Amino acid sequence: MSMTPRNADLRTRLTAITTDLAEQFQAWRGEAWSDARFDELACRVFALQFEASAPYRKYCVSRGADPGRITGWRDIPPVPTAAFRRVDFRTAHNAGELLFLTSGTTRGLDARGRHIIPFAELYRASLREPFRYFVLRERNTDPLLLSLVPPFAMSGDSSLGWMLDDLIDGFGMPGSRSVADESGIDWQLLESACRSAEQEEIPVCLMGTTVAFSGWTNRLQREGTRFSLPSGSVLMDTGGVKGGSGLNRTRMLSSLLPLLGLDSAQAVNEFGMTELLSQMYGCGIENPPLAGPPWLRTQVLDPVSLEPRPDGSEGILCHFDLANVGSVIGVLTEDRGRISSEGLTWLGRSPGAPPRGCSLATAELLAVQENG
Amino acid sequence: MWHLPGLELDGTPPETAGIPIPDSSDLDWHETSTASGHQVRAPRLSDRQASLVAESVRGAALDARSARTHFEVLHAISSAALRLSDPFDNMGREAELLLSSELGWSSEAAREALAGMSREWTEHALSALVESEIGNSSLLEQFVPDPTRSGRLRMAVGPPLVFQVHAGNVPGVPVTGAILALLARSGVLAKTGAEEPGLLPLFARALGEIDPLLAACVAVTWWPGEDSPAAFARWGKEAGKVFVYGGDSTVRAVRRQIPPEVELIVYGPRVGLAVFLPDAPVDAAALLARDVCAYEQRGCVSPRIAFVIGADPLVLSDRVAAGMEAEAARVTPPAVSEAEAVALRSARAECEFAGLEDGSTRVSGPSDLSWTVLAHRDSGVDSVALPRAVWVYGISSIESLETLLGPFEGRIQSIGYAGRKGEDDLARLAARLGVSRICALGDMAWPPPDWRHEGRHRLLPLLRWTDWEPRP
Repeated sequence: MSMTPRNADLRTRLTAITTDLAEQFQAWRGEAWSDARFDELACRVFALQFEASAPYRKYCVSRGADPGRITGWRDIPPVPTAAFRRVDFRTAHNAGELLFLTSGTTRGLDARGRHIIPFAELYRASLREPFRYFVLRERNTDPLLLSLVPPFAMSGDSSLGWMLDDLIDGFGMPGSRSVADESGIDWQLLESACRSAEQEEIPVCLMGTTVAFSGWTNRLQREGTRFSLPSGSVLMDTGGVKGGSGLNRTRMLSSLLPLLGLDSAQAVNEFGMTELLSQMYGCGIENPPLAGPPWLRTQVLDPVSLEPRPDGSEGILCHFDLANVGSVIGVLTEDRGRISSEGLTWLGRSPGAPPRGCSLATAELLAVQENG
Repeated sequence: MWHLPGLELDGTPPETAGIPIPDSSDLDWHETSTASGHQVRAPRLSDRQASLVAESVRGAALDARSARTHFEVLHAISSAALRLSDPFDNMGREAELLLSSELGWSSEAAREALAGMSREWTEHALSALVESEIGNSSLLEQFVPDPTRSGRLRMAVGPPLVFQVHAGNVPGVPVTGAILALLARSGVLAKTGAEEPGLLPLFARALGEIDPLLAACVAVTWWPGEDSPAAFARWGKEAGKVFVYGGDSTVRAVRRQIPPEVELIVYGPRVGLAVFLPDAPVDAAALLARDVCAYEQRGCVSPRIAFVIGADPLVLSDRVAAGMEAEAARVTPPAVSEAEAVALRSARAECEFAGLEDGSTRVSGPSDLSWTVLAHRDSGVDSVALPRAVWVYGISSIESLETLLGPFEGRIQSIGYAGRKGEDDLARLAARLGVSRICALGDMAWPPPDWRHEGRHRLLPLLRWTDWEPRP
């Protein structure tokens, strides 16, 4: 792309807001942001995205939305997740940009959604402090991080893989690693790492998909293996249950946590989407309410009219994530949920929508392993 | 306790003649709720209860063979079925309310669907069906000399019991299924679909008022799709033939339940298509809209995808949209469910974004999502089963259509078309693809009664033939 003066100016402004946001994300220690602060940032990002992304601009114009008429984040037109299967939303081209793909749908891999991340550093900034705040919490020692997801270099397109790699880089004590590769999870490696940590009293942070932990539960039960992981350990499962696997997270964790010597306060559910760079977290085992950083806001909408629904009612979730500077901040999902004073309760994918998600990819991986 | 082993709407047992549930004192229930929130309950039959019900239905069917002539059966079942579509009959009003309640349809939509299905329930239509498939209805009750081989006599009669599993949500199909079985002189054990469980019990009630013996040949119940209760296995074992109307997962579930020697006849999911030939008249778009909206697009006879040859699909889609709007004004569309709304929005978004850069797509439809037309200038086959939603694709020729549709061979129910240019080629393509009917647009939803559903006979699969070759 040739660099016209207008492009150069846009580029400068994008870099400026990216740097500004990254600093704000890194400085975050759990405080709430005012509506005014979120609105102001959302409007700035929206104006840049409107200018930089031709497809998004067309979409907004067809809905009568432009930066002159947007006064707050609630006015910003969200893009349906289905659109990510058809259009690359990007505000910039950068060396070192990332490409994440969704896990596919019932129509197969050709229908996977794409999310291009031109500003990888901003993504890094958006995920570290919330992980520290919601998952590591007041634990003062850096734990041993063990990921049950293959490293990003192996999958090449999984946002979860990239995120867990980065958390290992950012927070893991030496020895932290992924225990999975293309062929599946190396259970012996996982278990021997847990055994050493148990003996050396090093807290462990286990990270993987809900489906992978379910596979581990079955294995531990079958083999009669038990652990007594040191205090300060935590288990973070992600993905919930997708793809109609019939898996019950609560039941699975009720079996798994005692086998590891953990209690329910040491279980954290992570909620993330390929189309969103920020995550939400919930502590506990029974569909815990989720909370995220203040640069991510969520609305519950009526599925037919798309009007906001009052707190406490169920509807379709629509997220606005300021970390998505490189694509679009408003993402209209096909997920059902409810917001209360305790947080967001995720109620699963709408049954009419095709199942997908990172759980599915790992389920396939598990199936390969079990059959092989 | 004296009612159909079947269904209660809002907890009220139907006041009806029917089959008593044996040992019913400690019965427990399956429950579901209809589109408009009414509770439906059906008894959870134990193995013994299911077995006693089967025995009672088999006994009634065998009694009816000697006690009723074919014409008495024909007359009784047709009269009972036609009551369901008679707006001046209390049963007809009940049927209309029932469909509205179950499916969330407007009363016009329910009336129109009942009127449509009743076309194949008249004595004339049923006689024509018998005539076209076996030639002579006397074969159903006695040995008749075979005109094709001298000295041979033939008779055709169904097994004493058939089991019909209706997974689908197409109203009327379970009633027609029972009617065909009764014509074959079989007793019917039926499991209806969760979305439309009520019309078959209502038919059995109507039949009970006309001929209690014939009504005792029908037992109908329902259970949740994921369940496989004792009755499932028992009825599968007791029946001489099992009919499944539903998707692959239902078929697999049924196969697991029935002994290998029991014949399984499957009516699987299929899709309806429309083709606009190069000389299609302008008003054909409105006919497409009419076919799409018939039965609220629940049947595979309604088209889901339209292919346009030699014209701009986007321009045509505007006319289809006008037709859809007119249909919505004529028959109020049901409110879409939350899940449908999400899937419709997703489909609309995908279509819109696919053409965002080059203007090659067009999305039409109101914001309440009650109908949707998704047009693509390029060819394609993507579509989703959603209410009053039709995909329109451009295609260069009938040859290209053959390449595109090749993978769907055997999965296409019917093709409606407009225009004459190339219709011979299109008809031959339909035959190669195993399409069971190709007809003019506007007639897709109302096939004649002797149409070969899925390209097969309808009564014949129920029958077992006996050839008698006496010593000359």
